[in-house]
Amino acid sequence: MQRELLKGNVPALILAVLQGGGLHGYAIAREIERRSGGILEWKEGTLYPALHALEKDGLIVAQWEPNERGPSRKVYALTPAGEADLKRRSAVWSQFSRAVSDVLGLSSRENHHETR
Amino acid sequence: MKPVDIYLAAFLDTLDAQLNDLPPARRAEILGETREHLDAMMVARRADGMAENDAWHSARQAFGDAEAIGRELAREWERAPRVETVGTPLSKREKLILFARPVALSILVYGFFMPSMINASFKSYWVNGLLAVITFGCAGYGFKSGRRGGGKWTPATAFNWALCILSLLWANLHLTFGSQLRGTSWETISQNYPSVMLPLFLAASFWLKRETNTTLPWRTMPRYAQNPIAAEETFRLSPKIGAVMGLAMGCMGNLWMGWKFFGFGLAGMLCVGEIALAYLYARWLNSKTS
Repeated sequence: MQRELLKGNVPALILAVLQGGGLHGYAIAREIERRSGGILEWKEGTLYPALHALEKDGLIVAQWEPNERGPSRKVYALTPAGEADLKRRSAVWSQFSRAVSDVLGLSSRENHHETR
Repeated sequence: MKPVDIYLAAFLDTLDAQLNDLPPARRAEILGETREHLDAMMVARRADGMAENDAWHSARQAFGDAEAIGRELAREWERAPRVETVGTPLSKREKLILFARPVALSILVYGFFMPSMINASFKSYWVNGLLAVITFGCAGYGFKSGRRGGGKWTPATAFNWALCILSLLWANLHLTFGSQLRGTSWETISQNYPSVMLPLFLAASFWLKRETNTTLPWRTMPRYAQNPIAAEETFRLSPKIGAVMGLAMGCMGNLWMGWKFFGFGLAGMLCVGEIALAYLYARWLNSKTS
């Protein structure tokens, strides 16, 4: 179930980790893992179709950079359009998660815990 | 060769098999990226103390199924770019390539079949030749830049290409039958060819420029600016619209010239054949883009 939930949000996660600067595919996967505390389980190979989709849509750009320890690496970086898209996705996610929490009664429980 | 190298090669082969429709350079890029990712995963696992074989199996498990990922990548390649990115600015290099490619191709192809035409274009009819080169370049540029990364027919690109074809037909007929038609009205028209075609070429180029400047070909129209879904739908229909416009232009040229040289019956048949071809072409374009 977690994978299903994650599937549609992989582009947003990629855009978010690229906000800190350009990264190659493996580093993006590690950064998502680090930021999520290893909670988000996914097949790392699915990162590449998502990266290519974002690149095609002009939300990220890719360029090959020389790598001292091996062959050149394709490094992805956020474009201004990508930054704008990330803001939009973040707002949509925030609204969505709040709505789901409200329906599940989690927000009132959280508030209740906070007031106690 | 170590077993892990064999496993990795087999994994990459499976992935590669799904990428048949992609250009070789893109395939090589994907395979290189995947290899690098898997290598890095294995190095990390080895550093955690895993045996080489176990590291491979764990990395492969975490990476996912090569066939499914390959299918997804191929599907992604086929997918049209998002509508918001249509018409994003192109670099000077991209513009130059898009302009030069059809020009070079047309000179090569035509030069191969009819060297005399290239010769005549540059010596006797250099104005016409120059116009044709500019039009071919603009058509190629517009065809790609109208939809960055994709390449779509729009009315303006179809109009440009129709002019290109019309000018080639014109030049063909002029060089083939020109000597037999001295003193006729055909010769008078041919002599005034640039003044007949120049306004059309200019109109086509301005139209194309206007299209490629907007984020969507018809975005300047209020209806589409306010309704992106309608705009996208129209954009999806653009191959049909483009083909019909190209067909109309081509038919006008063919009918007029065909009637002049072969009589009305044959010219009509040519048009019917052209309509059938354009219809099949539009269907093919739609199946590729929808």
